[in-house]
Amino acid sequence: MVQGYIKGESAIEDIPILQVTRLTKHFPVHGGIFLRKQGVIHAVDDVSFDVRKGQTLGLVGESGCGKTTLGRCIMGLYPLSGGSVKLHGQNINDVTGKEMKALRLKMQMIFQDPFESLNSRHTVGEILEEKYIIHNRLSNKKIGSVNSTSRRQEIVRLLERVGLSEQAMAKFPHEFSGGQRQRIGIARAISLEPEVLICDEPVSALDVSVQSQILNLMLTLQKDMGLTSVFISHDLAVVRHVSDLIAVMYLGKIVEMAEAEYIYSRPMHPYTKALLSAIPVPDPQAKRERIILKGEIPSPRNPPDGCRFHTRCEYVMDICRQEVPLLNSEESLKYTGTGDSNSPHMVACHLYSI
Amino acid sequence: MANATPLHQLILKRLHSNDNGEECSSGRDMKNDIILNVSNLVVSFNTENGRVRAVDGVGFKLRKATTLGIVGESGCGKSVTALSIMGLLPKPSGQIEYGTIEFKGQDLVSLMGKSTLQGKSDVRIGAALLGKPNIKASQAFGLKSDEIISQGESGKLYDMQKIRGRQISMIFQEPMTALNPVQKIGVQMNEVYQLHFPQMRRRDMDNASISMLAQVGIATPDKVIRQYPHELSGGMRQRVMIAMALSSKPDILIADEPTTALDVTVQAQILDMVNELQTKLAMSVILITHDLGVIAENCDDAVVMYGGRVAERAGVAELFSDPLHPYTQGLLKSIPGLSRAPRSILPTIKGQVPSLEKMPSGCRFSNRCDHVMEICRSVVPFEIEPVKGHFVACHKYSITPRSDIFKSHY
Ligand SMILES: Nc1ncnc2c1ncn2[C@@H]1O[C@H](COP(=O)(O)OP(=O)(O)OP(=O)(O)O)[C@@H](O)[C@H]1O
Ligand SMILES: Nc1ncnc2c1ncn2[C@@H]1O[C@H](COP(=O)(O)OP(=O)(O)OP(=O)(O)O)[C@@H](O)[C@H]1O
Ligand code: SF4
Ligand code: SF4
Ligand SMILES: [Mg+2]
Ligand SMILES: [Mg+2]
Repeated sequence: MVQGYIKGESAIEDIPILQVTRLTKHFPVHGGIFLRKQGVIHAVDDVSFDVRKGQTLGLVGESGCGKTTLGRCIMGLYPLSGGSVKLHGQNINDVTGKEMKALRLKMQMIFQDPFESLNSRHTVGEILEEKYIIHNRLSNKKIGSVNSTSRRQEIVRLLERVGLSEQAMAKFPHEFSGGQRQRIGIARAISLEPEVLICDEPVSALDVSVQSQILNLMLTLQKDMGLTSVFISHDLAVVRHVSDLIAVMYLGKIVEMAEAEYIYSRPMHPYTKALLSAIPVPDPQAKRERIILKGEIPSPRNPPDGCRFHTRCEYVMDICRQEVPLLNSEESLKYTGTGDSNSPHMVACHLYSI
Repeated sequence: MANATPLHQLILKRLHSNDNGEECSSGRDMKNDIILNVSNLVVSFNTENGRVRAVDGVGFKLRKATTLGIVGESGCGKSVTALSIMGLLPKPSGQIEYGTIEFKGQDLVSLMGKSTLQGKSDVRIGAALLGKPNIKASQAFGLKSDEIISQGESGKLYDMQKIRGRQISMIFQEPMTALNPVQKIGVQMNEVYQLHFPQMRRRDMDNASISMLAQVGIATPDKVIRQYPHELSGGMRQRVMIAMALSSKPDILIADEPTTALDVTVQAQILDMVNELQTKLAMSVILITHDLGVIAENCDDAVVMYGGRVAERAGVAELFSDPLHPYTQGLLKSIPGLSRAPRSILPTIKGQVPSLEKMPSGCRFSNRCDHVMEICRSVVPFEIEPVKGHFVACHKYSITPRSDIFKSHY
């Protein structure tokens, strides 16, 4: 059953392309003279979501809450401590060797500073060409021409697509500005026509006047190529602008997830409310009720028991200190009244489960 | 110094009331008094490609007991302007070529010029301001470590030093550049008192530190004074730095991106606290940021900088409701706001900020401006005041009759 519907401007179909189930990632902490394992960092804990074709899931949360780790786990860059990541129903950690590499090429990642990820000794042309070569070695489905002049043509078209000119081919990454480097990073990520794009803070390092250029480029490409994406950022205005669905993370867990508009118009979780109220709005007339959170984010090495937000929550109850609240769509639907069975408004908070 | 009252009580008194003696008790509206007047400031640096002007004719006024925001993109000269006011430009490469910085009617630039020890005393001020001879902090200002230590050891105060650090304090984006990693917080805070209030007793210093830390929202100040900077979170370190900056009872606090490295919820805490202290202490604040939202929510006046110059300056309400400069207009339109249709294509400013060496002549925004005219490419636009209190440097307004200005953007 393929039921397409139009959301915003992009066509979203009902097939989950990316399925993340109970994903958990712990990093061991070593210390002492023998560097023995002394504990674990709970970077990502029991996270589940589906992203359907053409959809963008926005992932927001404060520094250290596990956004990058989650993105890298989805890309298969870290072994998982638990749970699974499925692309088209296929578990990416089950397949091995060449097959896995080919599968992974269907997912690409864009980083905050593409400079770090672009090989500084190669020209932009070489960097982009390399991708084709690797791909064609791994996959039966050849992309691009074998012939080097027509491949060159393709790279030129790719560069134009991201707003760069042919001259860029002969230059090295360091000769470009931040915005241009991000365009190169995007060109490289889309060169192999991936299905899923994981974007980790793609505009955070850019000048304000350049951010909107890159956001526009990403929105256009996403629509044209039907890309499914996960967009990580701590900038809630940016995330709201590009996402269909938003997941709010706190200390390794998703505390609330819903369609983008509901997160902003009807936030349920006390943390989401505080987070939204803290964004500075560029309008001096806007009078807002600000919720100032007390204290700071606890260490993910010893996350608080029960609800991880209980040390800062103004509504904390006894149960919050003992029982982990679950991201329960059935329960929370009753309260939220927003969302539907297709994309329920889910919240992990005891306020909504009693 | 009044010896009758212990100093920390004086500080506390000042912290707890607006009434702090001669300056504020006059009762009239002091918000129209200009405490700092920067005019025509030109600062240049030696680079491989010769001298470049990082700040080129910047001017603005800071009113007493108000917050002035300086906003602009990376490299537009915000920090260089702030460091010029503090006398902390890296020497010898950075130099004030021209302009005045009047603080309470006294020109700091010529005061700096008078000092034969110019560069070196400034260095010591920098180090002293931030604690003792602080190697890391001073290196941030481009100094060699041996120079700092020898300079930092002599304790004599010069005019400049009295003003900077005591009457004008600065806090930085990354507190670790200003905090000494191997000294406990309490020791570092006491050094500020030792420098500014040498007669203060050790116990009074500790008490003053503790109450100052409590003022900036640290829950366990008596514990924190015995901790090292690395034991604190980013937000706590920023609070400690603010407490240190405030302990000398400055008239002006310059905060250079104090919250950029912090999370939004912590940023909200810190900015709220700064606002609260600003009102309580009747202090003037210069808040440097690249976030227009931070300006809108925390400032009375704002200066928009582009390419080392002031593009536009006005009261905050006026600036956001009726921006005049094409750069400000473009910037305000391009930020994704909560009121914008999701997934819509955002208006953009074309191109990017050129490097200092490649700045176009004439108006520095001319290669990106949609309104560019012939004159813009060759003639530097002067600042004019088309609306009272609202200044803009753009040829559109100098050659257009006033009535047309308003038609053009409605
Ligand atoms: N390779 C690693 N080894 C050990 N700990 C790690 C590793 N990567 C991340 N962590 C820890 O896991 C937690 C989550 O980090 P992560 O980078 O995913 O956060 P984030 O949400 O992306 O933060 P930011 O907004 O600062 O980028 C942090 O406490 C971090 O210190
Ligand atoms: N020590 C120096 N030597 C040479 N050039 C310098 C030096 N310090 C600053 N500059 C140049 O002066 C210009 C203004 O720098 P400044 O640090 O004031 O920018 P800013 O507005 O504070 O930017 P950001 O938002 O990135 O902090 C930049 O182009 C910078 O490269
Ligand atoms: S579960 Fe309890 S502590 Fe956690 S957010 Fe809800 S009310 Fe607050
Ligand atoms: S002076 Fe000319 S180029 Fe500069 S902002 Fe005004 S119209 Fe644009
Ligand atoms: Mg990250
Ligand atoms: Mg700066």
